[in-house]
Amino acid sequence: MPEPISTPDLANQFCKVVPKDAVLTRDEQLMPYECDALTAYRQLPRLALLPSSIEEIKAIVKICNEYQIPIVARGAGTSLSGGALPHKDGILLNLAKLSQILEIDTQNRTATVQPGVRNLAISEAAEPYGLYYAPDPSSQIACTIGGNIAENSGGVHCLKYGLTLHNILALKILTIEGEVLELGGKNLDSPGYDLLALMIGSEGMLGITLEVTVKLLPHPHDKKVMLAAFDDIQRAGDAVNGIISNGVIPAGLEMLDQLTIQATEMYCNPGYPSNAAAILICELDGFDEELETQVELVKEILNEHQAIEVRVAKDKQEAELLWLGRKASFPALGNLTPDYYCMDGTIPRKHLAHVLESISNLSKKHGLRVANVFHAGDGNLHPVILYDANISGELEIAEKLGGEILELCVTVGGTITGEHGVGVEKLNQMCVQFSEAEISTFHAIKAAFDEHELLNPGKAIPTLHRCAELGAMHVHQGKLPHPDLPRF
Amino acid sequence: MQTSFTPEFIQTADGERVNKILRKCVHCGFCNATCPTYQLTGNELDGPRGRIYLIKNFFEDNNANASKEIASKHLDRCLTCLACETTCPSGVQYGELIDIGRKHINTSLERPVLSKIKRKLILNIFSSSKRTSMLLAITRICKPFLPTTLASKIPAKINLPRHSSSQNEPHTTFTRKMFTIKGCVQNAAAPQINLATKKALESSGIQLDEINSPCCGALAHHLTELEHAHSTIRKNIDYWHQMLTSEYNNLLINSSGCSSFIKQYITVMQDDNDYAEKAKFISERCIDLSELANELTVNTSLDKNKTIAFHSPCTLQHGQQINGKIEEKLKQAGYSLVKVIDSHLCCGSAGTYSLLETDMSSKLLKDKVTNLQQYQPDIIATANIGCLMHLQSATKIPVKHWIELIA
Repeated sequence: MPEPISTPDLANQFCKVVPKDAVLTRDEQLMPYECDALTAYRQLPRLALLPSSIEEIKAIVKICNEYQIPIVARGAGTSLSGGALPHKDGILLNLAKLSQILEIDTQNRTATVQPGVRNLAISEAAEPYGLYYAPDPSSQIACTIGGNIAENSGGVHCLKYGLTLHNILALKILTIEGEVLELGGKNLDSPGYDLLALMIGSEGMLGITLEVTVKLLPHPHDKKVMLAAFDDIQRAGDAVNGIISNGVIPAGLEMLDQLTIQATEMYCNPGYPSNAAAILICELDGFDEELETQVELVKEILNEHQAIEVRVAKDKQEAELLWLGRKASFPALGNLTPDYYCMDGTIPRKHLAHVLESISNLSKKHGLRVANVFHAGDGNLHPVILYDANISGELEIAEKLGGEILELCVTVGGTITGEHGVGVEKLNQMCVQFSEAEISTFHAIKAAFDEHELLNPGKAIPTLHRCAELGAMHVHQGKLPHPDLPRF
Repeated sequence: MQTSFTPEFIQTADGERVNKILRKCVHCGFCNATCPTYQLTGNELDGPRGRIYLIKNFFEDNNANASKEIASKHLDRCLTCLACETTCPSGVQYGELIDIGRKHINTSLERPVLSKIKRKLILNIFSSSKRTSMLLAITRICKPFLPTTLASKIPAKINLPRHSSSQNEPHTTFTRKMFTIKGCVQNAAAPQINLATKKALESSGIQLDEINSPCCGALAHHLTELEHAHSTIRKNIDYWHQMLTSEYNNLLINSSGCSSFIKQYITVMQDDNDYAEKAKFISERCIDLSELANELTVNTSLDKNKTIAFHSPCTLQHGQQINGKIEEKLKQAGYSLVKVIDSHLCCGSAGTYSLLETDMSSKLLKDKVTNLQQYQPDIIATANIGCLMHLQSATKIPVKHWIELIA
């Protein structure tokens, strides 16, 4: 281990390799970086750095490696799992300035971009060529591609077009030792182990993304958006299974429960049937005849499952109105409550109705309202827990309730994350999801890339000690003694 | 967002407002995506989310002495373009929050002497049409001796036509009666805009009279010279209230920066017991010229065979949420409009911003002009005098108020 270095000395070291105003040192400057979009977890870093070139990043990483300083890379800070939560002994590496689109290759239908480019900016740049980048997380206006890679982000349309993982062709990664790895290429396959796949979703723990090549798709020829209302949530869940098992792959298939429907109606009045127990929003895309056949088939399936109303948007405006409510549902729920906590778990679709009912029971047990608005097509739930952070103890109840919901997902054969990543939020649930041997394997992979645990340490993979402690405490009961103790 | 203010603070009028606004914010970061200054620096402190944090910390921390300078620097750098309010999914009223933040943070901070003098000069010159005219006259004489960067900022002198050249017969009977103000900078730099406005309205059946109010008060308000601003606003309210309760239907403003601010009188004066009610009345009766666009008769003698890049001022598209009305009118009149990339971003004029934050402002101007010129339009049109002068300083393409293309 090298001699510990004082923070001012460390700042001086960085000032030699980046401009002085790109090194933030004072608490007031660091405060806005203390959390990402999951504000329940907050931590000031030692320093925050704003490099504007690859060379500067390399120089920063070299210094960090020399003095063994932890690095947390950050894009737009929109993570919902605390992936970009700073480390108290480390630096926060803000990559927002690396926002250049380097190439749009229309022949290969790819875009090569820097890590700080916003998700939507890629589609905007590709628009003149009739192309777009498919993964569309709700935060796509703000979130960066580097962050999408760290979290393997999804979105409404990933049911048909895949997660980030399925839309990345190549990455340039900087290791903690300063080596640049070029993984993948413009072809679909590359020899050797699939290290590209390993990087995507690795939450910044294996390397720092320097450059990304994404797949671009041509816009679908045409789209149809439908709404179906049900007076019973079970029937809505069954209808989802009906659609998928009949061979239809909608571009998006979303479900909103009663509380969400009412909240969105109050907020932006999208014209949802307010008497429904649940509604489905289904988007189909394709060429004319193919599309028409699909619409007819889906209508039939929805009616078979006793939908109380089925609506097909007549034009673009009506389609947008149907989507409006879905897209506004989080702020709409925000109008009902000062704070909300958005969970993210995935379940086999056949258990939808059962899981939603169990969530409702957990909600009653803990005395906090839970709304459900989610990607029904791929079973990716987003239970939204409504609470008030200014009431002492309510955040803790919300977290406990959230933890129990995730454990419920695991019990029915699902997973604790669909698209938000583990971050710091779901470390405990990782112990429920994976065995000791599996977690040890994860640590071995981490060590292969980053022996001294300098890259985003403490995220995504819990220590065995933490799991052992939790295991002995029967976390699945949701009763965690001493919840105030840090357990990283 | 969780807040931890003292009960004493929350009991104050501003405290209650700050808390209410902050409780709506969920820290999602969408606002940064459309913030012009965040796009330039990539620093959280130069985006709305960071500024919200600075304001929150300032009010939460009683020992905030150390942070004032940093907070003030980053609040000064905010254009108050309100693109963030358009983007915010949760309805956070950032504009009101930053006004309160500036009031408490900036006024408790002693600015360097030079900065103070500069701000005073700006306020005293540009809030008066006469003094702006004098400054323009002097600088026009000195123009050959000035460096090009400065010389380009001086608008050319406009010789007003003595007679109206309209082929449209003016109405003899008017259905409505409105008044507009002579104003400050616009009257000195581009007096033809008010003339064109009068002509357009009167050929469309709306009588328009011009009164001699010097300034709406926005200038002083932007500089956080609140006493000065409030005193101007009170005078205006007294005068305008009398006009609106006698024969005039509306106060019509053709510069979106001013209309936007007059519509904010309701908020700016809410704590003034004597004026709050009247301020609300004025705000409600103020209309921006664009709101009348579809009623206006188009001058048939103008050459419409031109391409136009329209720059929608932030005070129009974000401040007043008025979108597409002018573009629609120009198209309907026969012009063709070209596409403008990143049309939601500010040009860097932003009231006094271009004079105080010159570095940021000139970067934004450069990007904006590049985007406006991309499809080589014949004319750049806009709806606010500040943007008009700012854009014209960086392009050879004529920049006009849209009403000049209609009247």
